[in-house]
Amino acid sequence: MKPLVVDKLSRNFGGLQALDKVSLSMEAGERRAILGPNGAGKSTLFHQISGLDRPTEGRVFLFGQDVTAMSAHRRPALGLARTFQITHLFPKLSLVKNLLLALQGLHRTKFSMMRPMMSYRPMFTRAEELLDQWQLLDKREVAVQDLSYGEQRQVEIMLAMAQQPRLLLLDEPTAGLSPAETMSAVNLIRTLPREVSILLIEHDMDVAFELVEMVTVLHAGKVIADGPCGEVRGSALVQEIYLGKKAEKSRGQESA
Amino acid sequence: MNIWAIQILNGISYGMLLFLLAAGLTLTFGLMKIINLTHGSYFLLGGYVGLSVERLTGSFLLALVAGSAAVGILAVLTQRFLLNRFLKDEMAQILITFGLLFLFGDLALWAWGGSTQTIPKPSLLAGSIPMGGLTFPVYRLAVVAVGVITALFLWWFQEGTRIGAMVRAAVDDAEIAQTLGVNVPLLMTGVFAVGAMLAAAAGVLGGPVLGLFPGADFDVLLLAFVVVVVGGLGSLGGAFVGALVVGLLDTFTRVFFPEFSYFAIFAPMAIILMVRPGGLVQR
Amino acid sequence: MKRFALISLIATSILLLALPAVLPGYYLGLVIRMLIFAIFAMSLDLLMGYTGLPSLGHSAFLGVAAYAVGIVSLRVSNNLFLTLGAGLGLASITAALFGFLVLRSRGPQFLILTLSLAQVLWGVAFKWKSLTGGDDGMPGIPKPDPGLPWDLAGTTEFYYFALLLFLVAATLMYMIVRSPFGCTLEGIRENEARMRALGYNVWLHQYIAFVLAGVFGGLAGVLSAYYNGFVSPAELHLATSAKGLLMVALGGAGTLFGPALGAAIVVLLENILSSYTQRWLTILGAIYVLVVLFTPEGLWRWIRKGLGRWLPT
Repeated sequence: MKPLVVDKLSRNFGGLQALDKVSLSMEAGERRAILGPNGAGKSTLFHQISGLDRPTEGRVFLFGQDVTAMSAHRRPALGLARTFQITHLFPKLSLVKNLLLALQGLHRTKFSMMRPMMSYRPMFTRAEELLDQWQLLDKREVAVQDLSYGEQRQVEIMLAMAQQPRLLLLDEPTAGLSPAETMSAVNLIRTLPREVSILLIEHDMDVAFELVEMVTVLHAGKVIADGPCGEVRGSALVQEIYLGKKAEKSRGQESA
Repeated sequence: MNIWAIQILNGISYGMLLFLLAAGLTLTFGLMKIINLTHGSYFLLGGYVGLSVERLTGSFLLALVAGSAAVGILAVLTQRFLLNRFLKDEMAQILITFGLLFLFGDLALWAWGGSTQTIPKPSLLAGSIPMGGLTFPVYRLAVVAVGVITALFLWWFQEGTRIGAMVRAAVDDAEIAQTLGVNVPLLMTGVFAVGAMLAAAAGVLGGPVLGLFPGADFDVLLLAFVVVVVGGLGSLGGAFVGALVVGLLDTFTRVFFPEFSYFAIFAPMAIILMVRPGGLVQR
Repeated sequence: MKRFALISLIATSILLLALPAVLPGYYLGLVIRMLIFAIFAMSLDLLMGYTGLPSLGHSAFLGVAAYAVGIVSLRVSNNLFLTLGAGLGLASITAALFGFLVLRSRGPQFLILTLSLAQVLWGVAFKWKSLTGGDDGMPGIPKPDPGLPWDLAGTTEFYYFALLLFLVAATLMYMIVRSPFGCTLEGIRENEARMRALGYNVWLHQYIAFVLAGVFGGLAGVLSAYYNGFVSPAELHLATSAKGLLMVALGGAGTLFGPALGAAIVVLLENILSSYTQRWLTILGAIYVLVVLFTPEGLWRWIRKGLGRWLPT
């Protein structure tokens, strides 16, 4: 079953056409990147898929189900998880509490009022396992707002992975990370089971191409290229759009 | 017919007073995202200061100027020294401005006493004008005129002047406006002061017809907030429309359904907010 | 619970139980008022501190419950279980209804909406003379009749009654905030969008929190009506809601027991101040400002820095 089908999705913001008949579909286990310059509509597309926003036209299907009208909070139950471009964590809560909330999201215990949170040992163990995987176990009682930016971005991804999704949307997961942190994040994303489909927004093309096989390129709300990495990479149109970016990037690397 | 016409005039003139109050409140919130509950105090203090000045000098005009100036200074002091530090903290703003509301209200009680007092109308505007077979009090017509002129002036200022453009820019994005050379802190203090002075002016103008008494600050604050939230936070146009609606509603219900006047104001307001949480005129 | 915290809890309980032996009637009455407002403040903290929804209309629940007690005890029967049921029942219905209306908005709109709904009730209480006595209020509410061998007419007896209800309420609210549901509320307070992305029905949790806060607020109202023997529209006024806000801020939003402490302090201050000066409102107003300037996080957190081990939250 296809984890994601987007069918002629359009989103108009009072005159501004943010998305224009965007269509794409993913196969199970597929890893795909959404590329495109700023303002191309990438995050808007994510908001449509995750349900934080509704389209003006078109439909979204998750695992065969038409979710276009479905509220955002019901979509994770279908197997969807996402990260946000601007870190969306629970700032004043401790790291371990952040994870517990992610683990608890789809369980009935979230309504339980009578037993203390502490008594749910299996969830705690799982949270600590995850923290250990990301080498953050010693920071578990630290309020997330006191973590470094890089650590916070890692937690952003951790929360999504804790949901054990079947489809994971990653919105610029490595934005603002140091090269070492980027590598660590990439490696951890790679550890996800093959069955998990990943849709990735990335500015860093090298990171993107390391993680995915398929690419969709957006420009001004329209899909201008769609296919396997090599093909899209070689496309003249795409190169033209990214030429400026590539030149910038190599200049950046020289001075770094 | 007679009663209706008079009440409509009363409602509109009351609405204009509410507009003066609400204009300051909505600009303050729109620009600084500050919830200022002390606004009711500005009305009351402005009125009381005007009352004293009128007693001393016999001049209504002087009263108006003095009331506005005194409150303007007070407002600038509170903004500069208290509120400026809590621009992002809603709770702090509510508590501080509420505390000041209590504080000023009690000090006013101490200074001016507990009985209702009115400011005498200026002799020029004390009479009545016959129009279309009915007689209308000149004063209320004058209040309406003042309200409309102020509204037009504010509108022109916001849309047509450079400073107005700076205010609008700062409302949209204070950081960027600052980098473009707009002195945002000065602008904020300015807007705050103007808002407070408008409220004070409303207190003086309302003095002859509404009276000044302990608790008026609360009453007027509530209504001003209703106007602002219904009209849309930050929208002058919304405040104007909202003020007219609330002014008319309040006046009519007090006259015809005194049992339900509170209900008549707050219930429609609650309904509007439930249907359009951003207010009638959303930014 | 941590061992030290347990010790201080037991010590406090013993102190509270022994109080009637050491305090004369007047001061005991003051402590009763503190307990009533402690329940009120804690219930507001549930909504404000934990769920992140500061409300200026919490007096609505205290007020309707107080009026329910007044109306039932004076006109139907003074049986405690009946009046308690009526008070809590009306408070929960009010909360259930208001919850539907207010949860579409946030921030300033939420404040105004909650404020106005409470003011509407105030207006109703004020005007509907035949039901509520209007501005004169409802005097002469007898002490509750639990239908048991003991009556609650004496201050000491009433104190233990209030203390019992306070302890029950505090325990229940404590359990709620420590539970997964409580943790969920904090998550919602910190980041609604993220909670939705994790699969939480944010509205539902907020609604449940709103109703719970309303029920506990109503409990304070029941006690208030019985203690004062009197209900008036003042119970529903904005000033009461604002006082609750102050108590929560003074004690520390999101700490549960901080607001209880805040309530005790505000009740004490009001009492002391009003007997010394006519200008106690001025001072109270100044206190609002000073609290924000000097204890922005609240007293409880400040105390916790030094004495954290001894505190349960």
